[in-house]
Amino acid sequence: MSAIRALSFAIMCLLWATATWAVQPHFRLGIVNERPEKPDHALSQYESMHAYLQRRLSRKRVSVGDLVVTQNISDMTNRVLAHRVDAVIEGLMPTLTIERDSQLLAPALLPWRKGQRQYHSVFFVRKGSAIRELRDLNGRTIAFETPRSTSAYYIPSVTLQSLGLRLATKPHQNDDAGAIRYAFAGSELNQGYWVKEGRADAGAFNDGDWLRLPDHLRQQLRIIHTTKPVLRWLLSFHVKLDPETRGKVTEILLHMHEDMEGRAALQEASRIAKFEALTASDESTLGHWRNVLRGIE
Amino acid sequence: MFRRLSTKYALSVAFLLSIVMLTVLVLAGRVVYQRTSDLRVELADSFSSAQAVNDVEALRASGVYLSNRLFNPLYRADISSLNEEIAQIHQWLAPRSILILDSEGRLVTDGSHENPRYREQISLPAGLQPSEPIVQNRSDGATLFFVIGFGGTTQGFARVELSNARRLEALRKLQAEVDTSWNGFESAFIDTALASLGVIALVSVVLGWRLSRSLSRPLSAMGQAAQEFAAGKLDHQLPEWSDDELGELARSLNDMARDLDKTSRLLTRTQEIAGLGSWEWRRQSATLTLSRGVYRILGSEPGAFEPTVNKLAEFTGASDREHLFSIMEGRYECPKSREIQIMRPDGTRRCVLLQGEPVLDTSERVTGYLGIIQDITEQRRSERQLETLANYDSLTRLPNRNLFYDRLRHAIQQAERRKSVVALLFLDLDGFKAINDALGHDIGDQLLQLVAERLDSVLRDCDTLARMGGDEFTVIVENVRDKSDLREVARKLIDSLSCGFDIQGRELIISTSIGIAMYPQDAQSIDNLIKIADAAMYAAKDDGKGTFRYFTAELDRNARARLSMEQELRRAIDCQDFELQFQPQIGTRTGRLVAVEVLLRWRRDGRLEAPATFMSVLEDTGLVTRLTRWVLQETCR
Repeated sequence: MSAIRALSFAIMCLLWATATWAVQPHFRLGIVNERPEKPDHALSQYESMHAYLQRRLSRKRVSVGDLVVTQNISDMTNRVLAHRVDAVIEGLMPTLTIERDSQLLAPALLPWRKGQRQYHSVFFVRKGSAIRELRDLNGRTIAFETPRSTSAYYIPSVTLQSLGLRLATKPHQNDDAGAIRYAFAGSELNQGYWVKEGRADAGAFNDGDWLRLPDHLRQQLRIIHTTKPVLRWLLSFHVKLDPETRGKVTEILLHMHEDMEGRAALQEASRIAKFEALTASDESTLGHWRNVLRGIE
Repeated sequence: MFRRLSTKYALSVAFLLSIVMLTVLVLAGRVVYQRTSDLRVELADSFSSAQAVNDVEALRASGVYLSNRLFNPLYRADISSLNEEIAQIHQWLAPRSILILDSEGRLVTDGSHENPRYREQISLPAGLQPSEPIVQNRSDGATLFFVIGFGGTTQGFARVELSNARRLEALRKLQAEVDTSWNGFESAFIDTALASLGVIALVSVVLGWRLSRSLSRPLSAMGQAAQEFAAGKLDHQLPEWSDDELGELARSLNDMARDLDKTSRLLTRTQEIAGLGSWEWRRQSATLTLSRGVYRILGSEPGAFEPTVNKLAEFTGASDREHLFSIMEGRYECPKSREIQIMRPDGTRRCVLLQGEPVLDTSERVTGYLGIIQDITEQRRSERQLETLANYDSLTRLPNRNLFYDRLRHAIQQAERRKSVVALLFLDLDGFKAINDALGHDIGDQLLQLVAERLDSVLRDCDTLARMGGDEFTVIVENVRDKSDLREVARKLIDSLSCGFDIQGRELIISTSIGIAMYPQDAQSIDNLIKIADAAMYAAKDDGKGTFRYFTAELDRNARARLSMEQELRRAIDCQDFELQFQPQIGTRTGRLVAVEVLLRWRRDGRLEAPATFMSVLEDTGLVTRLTRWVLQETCR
């Protein structure tokens, strides 16, 4: 009899352990690769942060899945829709785009990327250019950085569109005389040179990049427009993520910069200084840009 | 230790081997060291030259590669990508500067974010063609120019200024590595040299030791064997290692030991026979070595006692001990011998001759003493017997003629020194010849012995009684004060024989006649003294026997006359100067011839002398025998 009791006890323990494992919370972080031509770029950036989260969340009985890296925004949107990702780190416009398209994403934290909490996108032209305002760009060419750039593509383009200006459907397209042609220079520096050299009539990027332009180049350029503030980077949770897990992840991320290991991991991940919770002002800013995005639809 | 031959030899061989090996090592090491040192410089030079050539070739190849790689960003005016490329190139080539120029030779970017020389016109070498980079060497490096283009299209140019610094740094690193390796080599070389020195020393010592042992061990064994031989252990045998000279020497030593053993045994046997023993006393160790013969002489066995001089002294009497110590402990610096008496443990006394002589070292210093001890007891006994035989009469035990002469000579010498008088009494037994002839020699000899005893019994110890031969005796009386002393002595001598002698149941009566002569009054020499004493003795006999006579001048004359007559008689016998006269004897009753009387006559000086004048001389000198033979022959003829 005692043997049967011991066997029954063992089976019970095994069932309990299996059930416990099956219901253990799971967390998956999603990243859109900034450089699609280098699949390992995102992995190399966020590997340390991912490992940090794994260690810390495991102590809180939250398992962490592999990083979810997608090549573009729409792919990430699909992942969100399929709830194959629980949080996404992205720029303002991509985040709002996924939020808009999936209705399942909610911005929650504000990472200080490259030391910036928020910025403004600025439009600039050559000194001596006849272009005085954004509406003067009609029929002109503007140099963006890359299609993935929030500050140097999304924000400028939605800003222009929000003013009723029309961008050519494709880069360098010249058949639409009334539209603003655009090209991707590849970098903020190239944008500056392109504008200076006349390869483009205007350019737009982060106001921090403006300050980082070589002096001799900046002296040859002139800002014609500055956008409203843009939150530098956002971490958004899937709305279906259980609040407890979300709370645990949030707590870890908010305190991550307080220890050396966390600071090192943040530095590797796009030079993030720390995570902050969104303030009301931030929410207002988000609201503005949601409206802008909605306005150009 | 360093006096040992093996050590000297080992050190010598080790030193020689060390020098040889060290010389070889130094020469080899010097060649290796010098060659390696040269190689170090040559390596650096070769590397520098090869690096320079390689750099140029690499630059040319790099120019072609970079031309293709930089074309796209330059074509797109993508300065950021150009900067990234420049950064890559900086990582690859570490140039001093990289300038990307547009097709008109104006600076597009220098790779820096600031790009301060933007649009500056940069000079280019003439003849710069696509895919044909130009490398211009400078004192501090090289400059690479190449066209950035695609196919025949020239999109721009690039100027890469390379510094020698990298190559020099590489060279410096190479040199540092070479120096490190060189230092390691030097250290290893020194360590190896030191280790080699140690190995050389060790090998040299081992080889030297082995070699020396191969020679010194036999020599050492021979030395030990020699010591064993010297200690008397002649049965010790050397191993005969080999057939070489050492083996032959060992065999010779063994043969010598066997011969010595044989000789020693012979010597021991000889010593046994001769009653000899040998001893040696070593001064440094104060040890005494005794041969078996010594123990045998002392009546002991070897090992019966500790051989010391003190122990030996216990065998001697107190009077001989000092001599024993003096000789055996070497108080003399020249050979010495001494006859001493010892007493054996069984109480028997022996007479031994102890001889010793010093043993000198090469510096003539005395290191010990050795000698022999000879049992001369029997020799001394024999000598005494010989002496007795030579000087004493074997029948009467009295001094014989020989000793008599010695003592008389001695007495005369004493008398000369003391101015005293010595008297010689010459005794001749009266009628002894008749007794001897009648009763035989045994009786005669016994009679002589008894006569001698009686004569000796009445003399003083200081007087000498001697038997001259036959029935003649002599007495030497020294320190004679006057004739009365002599008369008393003569009377005692005559009276001592007055009683008869009982010999073999016979009572024999005998007397003696004594002639007395004195020195220096009567004669100045021994012979004359004897002669005149003899003459006085004859005078005593003439006086009637059993009496004594002093020598006088008349006796001297008579003696001379008798001597002269004796000489004449001898000549007469030789010359047959005698005649026989026959006188017939006629029986008175028968008237017949019954006999013939032969009368002897001596023709002397033309006349015939009757026997009465010369018969006594013939009888006293014994000439009568010869003459009797002649008379009988003549008569019977």
